[in-house]
Amino acid sequence: MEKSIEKIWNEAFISEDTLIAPRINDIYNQKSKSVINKIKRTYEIDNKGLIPMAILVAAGMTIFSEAIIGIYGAFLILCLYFYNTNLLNKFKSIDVKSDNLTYLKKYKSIINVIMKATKKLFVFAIPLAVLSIFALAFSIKEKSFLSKFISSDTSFIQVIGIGFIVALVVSIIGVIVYTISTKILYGTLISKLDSIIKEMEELKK
Amino acid sequence: MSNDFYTSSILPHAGIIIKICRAYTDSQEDFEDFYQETCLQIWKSRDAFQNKSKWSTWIYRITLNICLTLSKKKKRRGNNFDILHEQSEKNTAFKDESLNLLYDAIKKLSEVDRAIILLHLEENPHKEIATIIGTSANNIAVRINRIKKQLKILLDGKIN
Repeated sequence: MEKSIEKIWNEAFISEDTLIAPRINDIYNQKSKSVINKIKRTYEIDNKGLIPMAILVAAGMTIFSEAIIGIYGAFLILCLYFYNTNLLNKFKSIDVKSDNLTYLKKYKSIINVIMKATKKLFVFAIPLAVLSIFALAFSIKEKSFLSKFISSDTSFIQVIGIGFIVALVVSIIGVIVYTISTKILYGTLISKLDSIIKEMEELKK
Repeated sequence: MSNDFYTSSILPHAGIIIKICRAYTDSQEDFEDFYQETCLQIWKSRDAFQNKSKWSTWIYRITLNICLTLSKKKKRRGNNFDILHEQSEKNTAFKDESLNLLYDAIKKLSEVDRAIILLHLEENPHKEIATIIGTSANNIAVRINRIKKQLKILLDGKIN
C-alpha cells in the first residue's frame, strides 16, 4: 500500500539530521560586496568619462579656432582626471582583511572625503581654472574668443574682473550640478551602504 | 542579532524554516542564503510582531515571503545555471530517498501551492494556513486536496 505524503514527511524527518540550522555568519558579505562593487564601478565610469570630455574640448575648440584654449582646457580636465584617480586610489588603501563592518565604515569615510574634496574643487580650483583661462585668453587675445568682446585698450584687471564673475557663476552651477548628479548617480547606493552599516551595528549589539 | 534572540526565538522554529527554504532552493549555497536572509528578516521585523498571531505563524509568514521573493529574484536572473544547479542539487539531497522524491515533486508545484503543502505537512490547521496565505480555510481545504492529487501523480508509485 502506498504511504501518504504526510506519513513520508513525518517519518523521514524523524531520522533526518539535515535539519541542523546552518551557522549565521557573513550575512552581509554578499550584500556589501554588491553595493561596494556598484559604487566603485560608478566612480570609475564617472572619472573615465573625463578623458573623452578632454578630447572633445580640445577638438571642439580647435574647430572653432581656439586651439590653445582648447588644449589648455583639455589639460585642466586631465588634471581633474588624475586628481580623481588619486582620490579613488584611497579605496585601495583599505585593509581587505579587516572585518566587514570596519571595511564598510572605512569605505564610507573615503566616499565622504572624496565628496568633500570634489566640493572644494568646485569652490576653489574650478574658479581658479576659469580665471586662468581668461588670463590665457587675454595674453593671446588677438587669437582668442576675447578679441570679439574686448577692445585693444581693455586692461588685464577688467578681463580678470569679468573672469571672476564667470568663475563665480561656474562655481555655483558646478556645486549645484555636482550635488544633483551625486544624488542621482550615488544616492541610492550610498543610502544602501548606510543602511547596511546601520544594520550591522545593530546586529553587533 | 543577539545570540539570545536567535537561540530563544528562532532556533526552536529552525526546523520549519529549513524545510521551507529547502523547498525553494536547489543548492546548498542558495539554501544557506535563504535561511540567513529569513533569520535576518525575522530579527529585523521583531518589533512589528503584535501578538495578534502566534510567533510561529509570524515566522512561517516571513519565511514564505522571503523564499517567494528570493526565488523570484533568482528566476529573473535567468536559468543559465541549470547545469550548475543539477550538480549542486546533490548537495541538498536527504538521506531518505522517499523524502528526496517528495521534495522533487513539491518543487514542481507552483510557488503558492508549495507553501500551502509545506504548512499542511507541518500539521498547521487550515485556518492558520489560510491566515498565512491570505485566503479562506475552505479554499485551503480544496487546494490541499488538489495538491495532494497532483503530488500523487508526480510521485506515481515511486514511493511504496
